[in-house]
This record gives sequence, C-alpha cells and structure tokens, in this order.
Amino acid sequence: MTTTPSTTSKAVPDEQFDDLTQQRQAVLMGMWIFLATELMLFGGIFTAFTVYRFAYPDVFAEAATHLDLKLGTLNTVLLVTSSLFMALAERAVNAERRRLTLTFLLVTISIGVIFLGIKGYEWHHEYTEKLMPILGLEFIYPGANPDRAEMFFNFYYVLTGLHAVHMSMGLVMLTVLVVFTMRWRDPPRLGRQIQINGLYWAFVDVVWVFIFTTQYLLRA
Amino acid sequence: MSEAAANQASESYLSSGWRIRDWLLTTDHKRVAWLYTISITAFFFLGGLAALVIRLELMTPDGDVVSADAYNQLFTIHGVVMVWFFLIPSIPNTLGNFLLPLMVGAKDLAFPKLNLISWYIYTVGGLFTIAAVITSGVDTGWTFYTPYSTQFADRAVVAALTGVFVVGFSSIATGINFIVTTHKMRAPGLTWFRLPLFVWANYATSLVMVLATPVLSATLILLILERMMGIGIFDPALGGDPILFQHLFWFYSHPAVYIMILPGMGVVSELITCFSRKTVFGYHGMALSILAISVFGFLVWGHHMFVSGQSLYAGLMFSLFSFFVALPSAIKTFNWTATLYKGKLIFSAVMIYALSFVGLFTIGGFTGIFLASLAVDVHVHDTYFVVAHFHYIMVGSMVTAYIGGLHFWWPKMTGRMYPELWAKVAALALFIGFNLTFFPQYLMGYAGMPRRYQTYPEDFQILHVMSSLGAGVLAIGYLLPLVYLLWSLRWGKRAPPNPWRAAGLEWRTDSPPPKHNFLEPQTVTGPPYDYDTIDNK
Amino acid sequence: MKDVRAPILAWGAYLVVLGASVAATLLAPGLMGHIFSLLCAAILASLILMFFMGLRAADNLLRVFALAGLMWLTIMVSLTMMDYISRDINECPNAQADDVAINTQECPLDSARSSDKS
Ligand code: HEM
Ligand SMILES: [Cu+2]
Repeated sequence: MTTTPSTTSKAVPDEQFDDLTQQRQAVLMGMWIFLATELMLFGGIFTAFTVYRFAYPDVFAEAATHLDLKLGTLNTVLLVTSSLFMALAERAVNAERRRLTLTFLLVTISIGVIFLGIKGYEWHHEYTEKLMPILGLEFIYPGANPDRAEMFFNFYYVLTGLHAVHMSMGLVMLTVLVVFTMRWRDPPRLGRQIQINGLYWAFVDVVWVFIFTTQYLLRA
Repeated sequence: MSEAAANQASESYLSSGWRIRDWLLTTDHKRVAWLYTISITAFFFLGGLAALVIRLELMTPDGDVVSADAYNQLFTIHGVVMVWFFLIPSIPNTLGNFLLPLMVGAKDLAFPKLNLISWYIYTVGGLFTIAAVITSGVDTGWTFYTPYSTQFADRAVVAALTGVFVVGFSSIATGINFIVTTHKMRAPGLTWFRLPLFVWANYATSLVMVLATPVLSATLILLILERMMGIGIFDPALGGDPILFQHLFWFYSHPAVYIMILPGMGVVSELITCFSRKTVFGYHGMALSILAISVFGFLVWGHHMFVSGQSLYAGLMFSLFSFFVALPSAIKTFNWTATLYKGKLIFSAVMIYALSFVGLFTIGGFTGIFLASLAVDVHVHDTYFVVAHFHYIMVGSMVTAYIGGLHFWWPKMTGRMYPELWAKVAALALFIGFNLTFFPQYLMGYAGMPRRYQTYPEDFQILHVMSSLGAGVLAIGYLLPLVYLLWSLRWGKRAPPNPWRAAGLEWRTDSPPPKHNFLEPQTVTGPPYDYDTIDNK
Repeated sequence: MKDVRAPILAWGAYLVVLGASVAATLLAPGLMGHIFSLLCAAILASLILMFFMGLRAADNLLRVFALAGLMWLTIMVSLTMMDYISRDINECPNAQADDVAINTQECPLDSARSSDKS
C-alpha cells in the first residue's frame, strides 16, 4: 500500500520534516496512536458493560431480544460495505483516477448516511415501545427485573449513541475529502489524506462489530 | 542562501514577531511552551490561593474563617486546579514542549499545529471549569466519587466535569505529538540509548497520557450522562455499582500520578549529572525503569479502593502489584545517589532543588509503600497521612523538579541568567517550608486526623498550626522565583550558549535558540552525559 | 489499480463469518452460542484491521501500537473483573460480617433509592 512517489513540484514536506517519507510515517503513526486512544475510550464503557453483563447474565440476555436483530445485521453489512468502498477509494486515488475516487467516496458517504438513518429508525421504534429510559421518559419493560433491564438499555444507548457521534464526524471529514477530490490539486497529498481518514472510518467499523455482538447477539 | 536570509535564520525565536497574533497563532514549539508556562503559572497561584485559605481555616479547631460549605468548595477547587490544570500539563507542556525537539535535534514537534490547538483546548477547558466552580461551586473533591457526584451534589458538577473532559484532549494531543516526535524526528546517530533521560521520561509519560486519558474521558461521559439524561450506569437503584466508578476513575488516575512524577524524574536526572560532573549511574537501568514504571503503573489502581467495598481478594492482588511498582522507583533513587557518589558536586541553586527532590521523593515513596500494605491502609486511609504522602510526591518532588528545571533551562529559554543568591534562598525556603507544612500531616494523620474536615479536636491544633506556618514559608519559596525570574528577563546577565557546561544537544545552539532551533543539522556520535570528555577539554 | 482483490475477498469472508455469528445466536442461544459470536467478532475485527486498515502491510512499530491498545484494554477488563468475580454486587458490602439472615434483606441504599424513585 505504498503511495506512488510524486514528481510534481508541490511535493515538499511541511517545514518541520526533512522529507516526505518522514512526514508520511509520522502522520500514519500519529493516526494509529489516536486510534488506540479511541479504543480505550470505548474500552472504558465496554469494561463497565462487562461488569454488569457478568452480574446479570439472564436479564441482559433477555433484554437483548428486544432489539431488532434484522436491522442490526443489515447495518453491520452496510457498514462493512462502506469500509470496502473506502479502501477502494484509497486505491483509486493512488492510481490517480479522479472520477473513480469521487464515486467511491460518494458511495461510502451514502452508505454511512443510510446506516445512521436505520439507526435512527431503530431508536424511534424503541421509543414508541417505551424502551427508552432517557431524560425521564417512561420505561415499560414487558419482562422480569425491569430495573436491571433498564441498565442494559442504558448501555445500548450510550454505546450506539457514541458510535453515531463518531460516524457523524467521519461523514463530515469524508465530505471535505469529496471537495478536495473535486479540486484535485495535489493527488499524492490527497492520497495521504484519504488513507488517514480511511483508517478512522474502518476503525469506527471495528467498534461497531463489538457493539453489534455484545448488544444484539448475546441474547437469550 | 543570501546574507539577509542567513541573518534571519540565525535570529533568536524571541527577537522578532511581537504582535499579539505572532504569539497567539504561533506554531513554534518554543513559543507554545511559553503560552503554556503562563497559563500554568496562573492556575498554580490560583490553586495555591485556595490552599492558603484552607490552611488559614485550619489554624483553629473550629470553623471560623469560612463556612463548612465554602470549605468543601475550597478543597475541591484546590484539588481540581492543581491536579488537572497544573500538575498534569506542568513539565511536559512547558519544559517538554520547549526541550523535546531541541534534545532530539529536530526543527519542531511532529505536529506543530496540534500543539498550538492543545494549548487552546487546555486554556478554554480550564477557564470554563474555573468559571463554573467560582460562580456556582462544586464540592465533590477532585475525585468526583459516585453516588455523591451523581445523586446528591446539587451544584455545577456537570460544568466542572465538562471542563476536565475537554482538558483531557489536550493531554492526548500532547502525548501523540511527543511519541511521534521521539520515534520519527531524532537526529542521525541519536539512538534510543543515547537519548537524554528527560526525553525517555517524556516519552513514557506520553504513553501513559495516551492510554489512560481516554478512559477518564469515558468515565466522565458516563457521569455527565447520568446527571443530565438519567442514564444511570452507576445507579444502585438499577443494580448499578458506584464502586465501578472508582475502578474506572483510578484506572486513569493512578497512572496519572506517574504522568505527574515521571517528567520530574527526567528533569532531576539531567540536573544531578550536570552538577556532579559525572555520567548518570546505570543509564540503561534508569531508562528501562522509567518504562517499567509507566507499564506497571497500570496494574495497581485498586490500592485506592482497599476500604471502598472492593473484594478482599482484589485488594490483596492490588497490594502485591503496588509493591512491584515501587521497585523501579527505588532503582532510580539508588542510581541518583550513586551518581552523586564521588562526583564533583556543585551546590548551585539548581542542585539544591534536585537534592530536595531526591529526599522528598524518597519519603513520599516510602510512605506509599505503607499505604499499599492492605492492613496498614485500613488504619490510615482518608487521613492526613495520605494527604502528606501525595503532597511529598506531587508538591515536594514534582513541583520542586519543575522549578529546578525552570532554573536550569532558564538561560536557554530566555537568554538571561537569574540571580544565583536569591535562587539559593528560594530553594532553601522551599525545602524548609515544605517539610514544615507536610511532615506534621504524617503525624496527625497517623494519629487519626481525617482529611477533608474543616473542624477537628483540639489535640491536633499544634500540628495544624505548624503546618499552616510552614505553608507561609513555602509560599515565599514559590513567590520569590516569580519575582526574580521576571526581574532577570530585563536585568539579568546575558547567558552564553552553555552556561553550565552541560551535555545535550540543546546546549549546542544559541541561548535563546534560533527559530528553527539549529543553524545546521545535528548529528550525535557519542553516549549521553559524557561529562569526563567535556571537563577534560 | 493495485490490489483490489484482497479487500473484496476480505469483504466476502466478513459476510460469511457474520452470517455464521448471527446463525449461531438464532440456532444455539446460550453460553456456547455467545462464545462463538464473540470469537466471530474477533475475526471480523481482524479482517478489517488487516485488509481495510493495512495492518498486513504496515511496519512492525504500528503493529506494536495496535497490540498495545489491545493489551491495555485486556488489563483494564481483567483487573476490574478480578474484583467482580470475587464479590456479588447485589449483596450489601458488609453482609457477611453480620447475621446470615441479612443476605435476604435489601441493601439500605438500594431500597432507599428505589422507594424515592417511585
Ligand atoms: C512508590 C509508589 C507509590 C505507592 C506504592 C503509592 C501508594 C498509594 C496508596 C496505597 C494510596 C492510597 C491511600 C489511601 O487512599 O488510603 C495512595 C494515594 C495517593 N497517591 Fe500514592 N503511591 C505511590 C506513588 C505516588 C506518586 C508518584 C504520586 C504522585 C505523583 C502519588 C499520588 C497519590 C495521590 C494523589 C493519592 C491520593 C489520592 C486521593 O485519594 O485523593 N503516589 N498512594
Ligand atoms: Cu495510586
């Protein structure tokens, strides 16, 4: 996955670096470290979830059946597909194919938006079922131990909500990339930018895998 | 290069560019270091002011200076400001920011803009919290324990939490910047085991910042959501466990104490070798124990929770692990003393600071071991013994190292020398005042004086009065440098490039350094701290 | 364009493993199914890391950073659980110390909270 070395006159590094290789490696490393911090951010919440999942296994498994497995699975498929298109966009820009890059980026964004739409629909559905114990809304749980079940839903909203926030930030950055791609000023630089944002986008997908598994799949 | 351009390149980073925007929009790591220094100093004296009122109140057994409620708010302000807005960023963001690129022979940090942004995040977050705390008050203590902070405290808790949360991002940004700079920007020949220990220390600190701070962010998010949206993760009514908050909080906050002390260890290693004119004893051991501390530091957080209701079994394990983390700290202390042994010691002000550090750190570390012993802690937990322990380390050691380092590199940073005699007076005032303030707290803590109380039985009054008087002396120790360092900016002697005949790349360039740090690219050919060669030249 | 086969194949593999994971939940709910799903999650995550995030081709240092993140997460979860596997959070903290009968009683804090909630 090496970026093709550019021969254009714009290929000078930022002033603190000696050369472009150093700069590229530095930025890549910075991004991976940032992703490690994101891992720990979600990790803190997953740790708390683990504690309660272990303490109330039956209630949590029962509560999970109230989530919509079909939509959850669909969303998982959608998200990985968008990650695929992001990876393809990276290859397209490295091959200096402008139209293709643009198309792939737009597909990535559209799928991301659809994902959020479906997620919003799910939340709305849970709201109408009175399974949204937020801001003092009524929580009417049809099963046993409604208080412990409420704890499950708390985690569900925290995790999916935080994930949605990350998705939205990713979408904003992707939109900026679309603008850059339309301008097509400095393709090697754009290639680096797409690579870095691609890392972020794929990472958000990794987080979703664990949200999906722990919230939807560990059910009774 | 034309002559004009050459002149411009050799100009110092301070000589031109004095419009406001040249400072507020600078990406030069040396200028950002100054921005941080100014903010941090302001927060330090603000936190100190709260401490002085606390000490004033404790002169007498009754509550007569402030109300009980105001007292709770005072120790909260003091803790929050000192921990999050002073100690965590102190050395890394001031001396570290200034010196790290110089010490590795780079033109700047890897991400200069991120560096500037981190200062804005820090300052805005800090001011926001201060505003919240002052206008409506917070009385949770710096630890924000649940369920008090979620269900009972009825003040600006959310605002304070938000501020701390925001400031966390500046830590993370700094951590990323330092790690990447250390990995990718070293001068040719500067291998890992030729790096100054100050760089090692900042590198290890950055690892801790990067891996621990996000967990604090997550925890604060959960607290904020619980208070604002009723998403009760720690709520006992839903089967939640308030102790879980302590686990998550200390997963960050114990490693955070190493964020606070490791850079100090780095500074002191530099000072001691220079003023004993000897290479550091056991350099490899020093570097590796720095790393070991930052890793083991993650395994011991439960020692803050021995009496919280945590299981006894977990308590035992955490107690054991805590003994392990003391090992590398002890190695470092031995190596400092071994460095002094048979050195040609120069008792300058800087050296007095460094020696104070070693002594106070030893006492603080030892009492840490007492506290880490499960059974002893049941007796002294939440007493002044704990207060004395962490002040010996955080104030006695870390702040001393910071001020010592500031003196050592002051000529480099400003191009001016400070008045040595006054500096010696200040260093001694600090050492004496500090011990007078905090040693009595060990005694009263052991005798049962609980922390965070405004009133106390009369038996403790003598010790409390000693402590308060000591705080006065200590305040002089801190105010003096403020005065003469500022004075030296204008009237101090001009500093040569290397006034201490010290080793290290930062001394090879002018004082103050030019804009891009070095006029030519640097290469390194020998080991660090080669004082024999320097002195025999 | 270089190397487009690998990510597409990885995507296919991902869908297969995801299908298996969901099927396991539906067909064999319970402990075994859950463990299987968690294993699948690990595989899915590695597929993304390797093929979409380029960890397969990345230099060793980046792999070390990725691993470090994972290791620290493990430290956090396992040392926290060290407390919770040896303690029942539904029990009053000092329950064992008192009467045996107290185990059937609710914690004072718990009942206080739930009563003023209603
Ligand atoms: C030699 C290694 C150390 C050991 C074994 C140790 C041990 C302990 C223990 C067991 C406690 C809990 C006491 C209690 O609450 O009952 C404690 C508290 C504390 N320690 Fe240390 N410690 C060490 C080093 C440090 C360092 C280097 C710092 C700071 C730079 C530090 C700062 C603190 C703070 C701030 C607290 C009190 C927190 C609070 O409850 O507000 N410790 N230490
Ligand atoms: Cu600790």
